[in-house]
This record gives sequence, structure tokens and C-alpha cells, in this order.
Amino acid sequence: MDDLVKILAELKDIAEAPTPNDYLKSWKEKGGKAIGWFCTYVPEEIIYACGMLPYRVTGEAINLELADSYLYPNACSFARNCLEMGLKGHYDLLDGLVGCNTCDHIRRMLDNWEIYLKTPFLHIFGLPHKVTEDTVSFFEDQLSVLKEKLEELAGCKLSEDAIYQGIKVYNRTRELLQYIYDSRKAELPPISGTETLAIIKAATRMPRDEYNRCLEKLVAELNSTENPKTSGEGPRILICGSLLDKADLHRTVEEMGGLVVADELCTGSRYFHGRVDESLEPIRALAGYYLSKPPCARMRPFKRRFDYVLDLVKQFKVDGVIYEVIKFCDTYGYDRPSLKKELEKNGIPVLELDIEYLPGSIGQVKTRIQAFIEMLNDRIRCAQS
Amino acid sequence: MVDVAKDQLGVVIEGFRKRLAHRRRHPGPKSSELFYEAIIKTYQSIADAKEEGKPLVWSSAIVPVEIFYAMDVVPFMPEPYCAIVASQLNLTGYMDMATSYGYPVELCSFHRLILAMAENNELPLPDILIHNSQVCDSSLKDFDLLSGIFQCPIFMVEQPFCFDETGIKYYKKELQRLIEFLEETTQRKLDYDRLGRVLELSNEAMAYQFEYEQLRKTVPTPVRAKDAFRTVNIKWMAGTEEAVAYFRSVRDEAAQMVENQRGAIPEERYRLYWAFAAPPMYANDICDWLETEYGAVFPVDMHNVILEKKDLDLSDPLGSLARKYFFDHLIKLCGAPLKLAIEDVVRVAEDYRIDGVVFPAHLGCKHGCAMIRGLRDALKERAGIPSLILDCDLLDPSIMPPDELRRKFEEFLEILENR
Repeated sequence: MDDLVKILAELKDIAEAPTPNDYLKSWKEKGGKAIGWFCTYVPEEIIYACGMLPYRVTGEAINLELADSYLYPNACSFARNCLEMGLKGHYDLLDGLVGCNTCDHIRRMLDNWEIYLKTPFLHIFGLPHKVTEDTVSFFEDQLSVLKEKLEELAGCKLSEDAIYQGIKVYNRTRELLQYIYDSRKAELPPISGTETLAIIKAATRMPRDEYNRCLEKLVAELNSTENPKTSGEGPRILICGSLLDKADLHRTVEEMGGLVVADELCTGSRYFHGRVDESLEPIRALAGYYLSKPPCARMRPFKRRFDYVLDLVKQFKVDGVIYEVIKFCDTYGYDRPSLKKELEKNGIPVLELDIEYLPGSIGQVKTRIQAFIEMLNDRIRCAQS
Repeated sequence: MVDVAKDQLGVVIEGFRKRLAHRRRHPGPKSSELFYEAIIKTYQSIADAKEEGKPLVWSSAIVPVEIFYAMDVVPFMPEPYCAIVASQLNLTGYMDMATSYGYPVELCSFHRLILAMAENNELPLPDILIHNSQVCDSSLKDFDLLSGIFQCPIFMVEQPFCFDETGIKYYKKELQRLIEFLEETTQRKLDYDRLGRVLELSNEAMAYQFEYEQLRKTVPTPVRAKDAFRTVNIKWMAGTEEAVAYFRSVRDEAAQMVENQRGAIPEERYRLYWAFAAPPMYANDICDWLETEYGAVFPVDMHNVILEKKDLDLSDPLGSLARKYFFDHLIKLCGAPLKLAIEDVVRVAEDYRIDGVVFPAHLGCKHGCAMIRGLRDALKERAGIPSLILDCDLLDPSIMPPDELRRKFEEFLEILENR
């Protein structure tokens, strides 16, 4: 178990290290190129296949003074925080950025980034809002253009085989993460929600081959029967909502006796769900996979998202759901009343939280989280007696 | 139709009828009568749709309305309707209602209003919902949720985030899919001859509107702001005889004023550009006040910018509709990359010889507010034109009350005066 704890601690350090982290610096020192990406609809495989390091752009700033003068205080704090980091030079090592029209906040953040920051390469592709054969074909065209742009930047010409290799590597990540994630279906999960969040976040901040090796070791340790680790008991909770890559909420829930066993976050289960079909032409395969995976709230119809959440609730035997929305987030904000109604119809209580993508924002809602967990405990006790 | 919705629609129609009756008793510009006749006809057709056996199709902005007229279905746009209702009724009650249904206060107040009224059965029940993907997240999400409230078929017109021929090609196919969807759900076939006639009418109205907008460039501008701003309601009736008659009339009136070298107001001192959205619904008289007190006119506004006249090609109806709506100024401001919006806005400001640009930072409009810095900087650096940013909510007066709104304008006009 010591090795398991050690690996988890290493991944936590990678997840929490400030940007630019040592991996990014080292990659650049060796002459490599690094490409930032914002949204999990960006196929990292293509960046990887071009021999470049994909690095997820997130926010670590503690105040947003600069960003507020470009965006507006009613832009979501994630978008403002990313821009703040860019304006302060934290992402200057990146050779380029790739994004898409995820939502109004992200696309306007990208607009401002394009006008006011000097990132040499910035490519924004169109992401359809619905999944049909026609939109998959359209998306395939968009990814082909992205591939050409990245090839030009990297100075290479990708063979189909090179993209297949990228797909294989990333599919392996998905397989390993799914295995680790599914371990939390157990009555006494070996890994906490806080630890899981860090494991997934580390994937987006280091070279993928090295990350997969780390995951292989983690899985081997999980399979070891010596001194199995557990993260304790408590009401089983699913967290869903706006982008959340900071562990504050998960940690607070777990410190108060809850168990975060599942999530519907782009920084969680939606990052790795499913597999790219390796039998198809690679760009087509990527288009189909990325568009069809468990959807962000920006996709429609909303039923697809709701069904995914309800399925997770069932699979992970969830007792309660925490639906967090970053203030001003429209897509997740609009969905909340309807999803809450649906969950409560299925007997699942919901705690609605409005948070900011800034350190310390969870402090304001601790009391409500505590009350929610106490209520869930009471329900469980009543059900058992 | 549920009684509350029917009653409310009846009140709105009756309000317009009274204004029309007044104008007939006290004749003024012909366009004014034509405006109310067109609006009454539109809302009456919505009220009568069920009885006449016509499908009522709710539509968001920037969906080719010509297709609805060609298919003889009745279009209803909830946004402008709810804005009319909000300006006449108790907004606070509706905002509280939206909150009670769980919709966060940070969402756009227009869309919270639509959802509150829909949940409360105060809107004409749709048979079908059609919306565009590219206007804004609120428009995308609320129509999706409305389909859950009303349990009726919905089609989202995917206008791709791809502003070149690839995007237009895709959008043309999407319009074809829209037609197929409407044919299946309404059991009506699109008559392409009828579509041709509708497009001819649309072209004719657009030609008049284009001329009218060019006439507004004149110094002094020949049209008052309130008259100009409301033309957007008729613009959304593209393809009807009423739109042709109205735009011909406003074009003639503006031309007459220009020929007589008369401005809309006695002394024009400042030329302003309402670059985004519209004046707050709770301060409808702000433009009248600016014109009367300060000689500040609005020769141009967001909804009525036509930078180039493009005729709809009857030999390629869907392709030309795709092109018309794809590059509509509203889409460039709302759904396209900011650099496209900047080009348009700077060009318009220069063409119309604008002294100052007005930009309402509507609290719920996240994409709109996020454009402000880029637009303001470009206007200043490229055209030397200052901007007035109004931190307000277009429906809720508590954020920027009317007196504060006036004070902001006064301060801005002082800046213009000192330049």
C-alpha cells in the first residue's frame, strides 16, 4: 500500500504544481513544442501524433484584476482565470493553443486571447451542438483542418499510422482510468474522489507515455491484495456541473464524511469515457468518438446528459448529488432545475451550489455541504432500520 | 390555447389596436399605420393559428422566416413578444417566478422571462420549436428546455462555427433538413413556387430597407430613433406583403426628408450608434429624451445594419437564404469571432459619421459584455470614436435606474462636446 500512496502523492503533486510545471519546462528545454488546449472536445491524439505536448490550460490565479478589464465580471471565473494566467505570462512557454466554441464564455475568452496576447498559433475549430451523421462528417472536416494546421506548426506530415498510434496510447489511458474509476463502485472504494480528480488532472499536464506508465503501476498496486487501502465509509455522492479541476469541493465533502464515488465532470469521468474506434479511418474515428461521448451541457438534447447522470447514479449506487455551477455559467445553470427534478423523481436528493473558480470559494458553502451529508446519513439510517 | 396565454395575447393585440386607431384619428406618417397593421396581423394570426388549423412554430432569432411563410405555418418569436409583455406588465413577479422554478438569477433576464412565462402557461402553446445554435447559449439552452416543458417536436438549426464556404455549404444542407423536419411534423409539403414568391417579396423588402438604411446615413439623419428601432419587428416578417409595404413607406418618408434637407429633429448635435441590443425596456423614452434635450440622434442601430445588399437567388433558394442569414450582422455580433464583429462595427461607425457608440452591458449577456473591450479599443484606435458602456439589465431597472441612465448619457455627451 505504501507504493500506492506514493504514486497517488506524486500524481497529486503533478496536478497541483503551478504552471508552467516541470514537465512543460523540461519539454521545452529539450526543444519540443507544446500546445495548450481548453476543452475536452479537443482531440489530444492529433497533437500527440505531431510529436507535441498537449497541455490543458486551466486557471490558478487568486485574483482576476487583469482579466476583468478584458472580459467582464459576468464572464465565468474559469474563463477569466485562464485569461488572467495568459495575461500574466504563465502560458508563455506554449507554442500554440487549440480551442473550440465550447460556450459563450470560452469563445469570448479565446477572442480576447487572440486579440491581446501574442500566442503565435491559435486555432479555434467549430464544434457542433448535436450528434448526427452530418455533424460527425462536418466535425471530421474540422479535425482534418486542425490536423493540417498542427502539421504545419510541427513541421511534419502525419501518416494514418501515426494517428492510430496516438489513438492507441490515449485509448490505453482511457482503459486504465476506467479501471481505476470503476474501483469506486465498491462498497469501500480504495480511492477517494479527491484522489481521482488529481489522477485525471495529472494526465493533462505531463507527457502521455510517462503518464500511462504511472497508471499501469497504480493499477498493479490496486490489484495487490496486501493491505488494501480504503477511503472510508459515508453517503455516496456524485458531483456534477461546471468545470471543476480544483479539489476543494471534493476534499470538503470527504472531510465532512461524504464519499465522492462518481462525477459527471469534464475533469472527471467525461474525460476518459469510452474508446475511440480503432477499426475506422482515424480522423473519422476521432470525430465520432469526441462528438458522441457523454456530453457537456452545451450539447443538445439535454436528455443525453441527463441519462448519463442517471446511469452513473445507478452504477455507483449514489445516495445524493451535488450540482455545482460556477456563477454566470449559462449551460449548466439552465440545466440545473430540470436535472434536479429528474433526480428527485428517482429518489436522489440534490444539493445546489453556486461557486467561483477561485481558491477559497468552497468555504462559503461548507455549512450547506455539512447539512446535506447529515441529511443523507439520516436517510441511510432510516432506510436501514 | 390556455386561457391566460390567450388573454394576455389579446391584451397585447388590443393595445396595438388602440394605437392604430389613434393614428388613424390623427394621421401622421403612413409607415406608422402600416407598422401597427403588420404587428396586429402577426399577433392575430398567432392567436388564431389553432382555430385555423395552422401549426404554431416558435422560432428563435436568425432562422430563415421565409421558410415558415412558404410552408404556411405561423411563426412566433418568444423573445420580442416577452419583451413587449415585460415593458407592459410586472417584471419583478416574473423574475421571482423564474427563481422559484430554479433558474439562477445570473442567467439572461429575457430568457428567464420566457421560461417563467412558459412554465406558468402564459405563452401560446407551440406545436413545434425551431432554434438556431449560433445566437447565444441562452437561446440554445432555453429552447431545449422548452421542448421538455411543452413536450413538442424541436429542431435545432446547426449554424456551424465556421465562417467560410464550408460553413455555408453545411448550413444550406441544414436548411434542407429543417424543411424535411417541418414537412414530417406538419404533414405539409413545401411548395417551392410559393417559396419563390416569398423570396421575391423578401428581396423587395430588403431592397427598400437597404435604401432606407443608406438614407439614415445622411447628415442630419431623417429618422427618429424610436421609429428606426422598431423596424426590426418588421424585418423578422421578411417574405410578407406587409414587410414590403412598410419598408417602401419608411424608405419614401426618409427620402422625402432628405430631399427637403430636413432632419428628424430640429437641431442635430450628436450622432450616436446603438451598437448592441436595444435601449432598456424600462426606459423606452431614453432616445426621445436625448433627441429633445440634447439633439442626440441614432442614425444606426445593431438590428438594422445592412452592410451589403444581397439578393436572394431564386434559382438557389436555400443557398442564398443560407448566405443571407449566415452573415447577418446579428450573427457576426453574437455568434461569430469578435474580429468579424469589430470589422463591421468600425465600418458602420465610420460610414454613418458617428460621434459616439453606445453599448449596453446587459448583465445576462455574457458574450455581449465580453466583446466590449475589443470593440471599444478598436473604435478608439482605428476611428477615434469614444464609447459609452452602460452596466445595466435590459429588463430590470434596479441595476441602472432611469435617472442614472440619463446621467450616464449626460456625462458622455459632455465628453463628446469637449472633443
